[in-house]
Amino acid sequence: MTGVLPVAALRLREALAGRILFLLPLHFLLALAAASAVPGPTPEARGEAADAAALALAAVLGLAAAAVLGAGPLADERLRPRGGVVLASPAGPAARVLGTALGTGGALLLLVGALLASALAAVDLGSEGPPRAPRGLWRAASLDGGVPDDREPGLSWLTAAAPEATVRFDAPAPADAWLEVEARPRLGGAGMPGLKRASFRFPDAPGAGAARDAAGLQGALRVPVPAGARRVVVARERDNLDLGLRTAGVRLDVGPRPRALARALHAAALGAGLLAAMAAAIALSTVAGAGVAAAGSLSLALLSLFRATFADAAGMLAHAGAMERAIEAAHGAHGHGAELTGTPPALAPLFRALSALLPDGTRFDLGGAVAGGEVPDPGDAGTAVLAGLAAAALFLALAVLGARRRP
Amino acid sequence: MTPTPAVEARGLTKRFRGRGGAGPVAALEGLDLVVPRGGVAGLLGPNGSGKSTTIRLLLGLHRPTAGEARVLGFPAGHPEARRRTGYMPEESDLYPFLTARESVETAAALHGMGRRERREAAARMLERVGLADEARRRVEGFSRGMKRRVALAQALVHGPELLVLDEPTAGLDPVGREGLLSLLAECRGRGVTVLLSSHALSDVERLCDRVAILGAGRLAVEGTLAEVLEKRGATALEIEGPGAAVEAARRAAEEAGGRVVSARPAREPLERVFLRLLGRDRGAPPPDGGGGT
Repeated sequence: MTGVLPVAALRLREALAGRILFLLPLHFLLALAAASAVPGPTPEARGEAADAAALALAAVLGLAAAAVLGAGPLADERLRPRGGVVLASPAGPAARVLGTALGTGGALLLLVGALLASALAAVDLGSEGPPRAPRGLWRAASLDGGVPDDREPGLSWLTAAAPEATVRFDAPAPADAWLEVEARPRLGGAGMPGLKRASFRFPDAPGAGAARDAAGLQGALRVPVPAGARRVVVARERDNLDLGLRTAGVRLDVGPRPRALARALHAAALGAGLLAAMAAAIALSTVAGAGVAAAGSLSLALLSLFRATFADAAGMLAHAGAMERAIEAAHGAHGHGAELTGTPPALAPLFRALSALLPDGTRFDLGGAVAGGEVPDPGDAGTAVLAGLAAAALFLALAVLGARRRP
Repeated sequence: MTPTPAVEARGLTKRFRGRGGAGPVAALEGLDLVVPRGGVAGLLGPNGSGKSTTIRLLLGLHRPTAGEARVLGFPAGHPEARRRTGYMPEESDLYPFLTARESVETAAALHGMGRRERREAAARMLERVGLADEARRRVEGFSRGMKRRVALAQALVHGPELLVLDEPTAGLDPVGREGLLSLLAECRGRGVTVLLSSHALSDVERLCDRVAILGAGRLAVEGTLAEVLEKRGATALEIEGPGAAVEAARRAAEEAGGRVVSARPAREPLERVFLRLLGRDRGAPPPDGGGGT
């Protein structure tokens, strides 16, 4: 296809010729400010918060760059004489779109790398104290004990009657590792404590004593793990909340290698998102002006950033619907779930319709995973990359169709 | 066998959507135009007469509302037609981050030339347009005239059979204009067909073999320059000599039943005087119609 590589080279030069490079110092300064300002009870917590802030900034700036870069060239060239050399060349619409995608995408991938390096540097400079607890990737292999939840497969409750569960890992914990446990709180008959508490024992490390930790209702429990431990017994404390555990919610935070891997996975997911935003912008730019195309694709990209909110909302609706259905099933025809749950009457039909569609036990975990700042595991990143590439392919197909209509 | 015309348009029409809910605006209506291969053809007309629209239709940058156009035997916009055509737009809004050499090489690459071939061709073209010494400079610092020359090098670098120029001399000083016209004359000498639009009637008169004059999107007249300029039943004489010689010629004309309509001292075109005074007149004889009458 004549012209793909020259167009790609032109776009790469164009993107790097100052249209995105200013984002790097901007990102560094913002990330440095965020890393210096984030609060946290421990250096580790501060480090994690700074990490999250720097990565979120990288995502926002990168998505904006993807939208603007993708929307600019083709729309601009239709309006400006400089496009004559490209538009009047033998490079057809498909070559122009593909070349633009390749060149701009290449520039964006460079940007992703640079933004992540900027994030590392800013976080290292901005957060003081001992090394931060790295984000690990070692998830528990199995979880035994507790009371399995009736509705949600995989969820086990530590209750007063069954207060312990044993978590196993595939590999022994290395030195300086931390255990991080996401536990869903539930009133367990005691008052209403403001903190969830748990104690931890390590059967593979008899010398190590038990550890205890407390966290807010939304926070994760964190304790250091002795080296070599493969099993951890998690115990609910008396007069405290029931704790709901999932295998995926118990992780080992380990050393720098998983941290680098985690960043690479972040980069892959971020890159896929940027490519999708860019491809959307290119597609829109073949049928609309640069401003419309950039705004449209930026909106799509920003919506994807708020996916946690949508997932939470969907999860809440599903829960509410399932709850009402359960109440009405228990009370027979005389029960009015909406009244008992306080559901606004206007929303009750929506909840009912939703609960009728969903099988029992349906729950959206995505919201919790994203809100918890989980590092994507290889499967998540792979899915994001594939989804991004699939979206890019779709957008490019639309773009070619659009470009065929408008030279 | 008659060679295919370089450009052939039949009933070419373009109407644009009106803004703000207005009806369609006709930029070009039923243009019939044939430009034979070789030579220089000029598209003339005031602003808004449809010159640039015609050029963009021929290049496939617009789709016609009606009619059809063929370029070098291919439908307008066909990749093969584009491959054999060089285009210089009205404004040389080049990519500012590229050097002159990179700008020309990019154009060559877009036409499918290999790396070595395009490097050599770009160097050759920059030499021809007088920018060899500026090849490594970014074009953002170039003057308008220099940008026009880079744009011309871009249009010529792949050795096109047809060169399409939209207002090629607009905004150029007389020296730059002279250089560009000389280059176009050279192209014509090498058998390249040139189609240009221009407001500068003197340029067209000097360079073009054929002209087409557009008005309000319609073709007003088309033909060779001689056909278009010919004043039926009149002949112009240029006499060099004392006033008595002019008087004798006047009398001779009247005795033969004719009438002298006007007689005035012959004048050299200002442009020629300007170039001569600056020492830039290369003495290239104007290709056509350059002599006074």
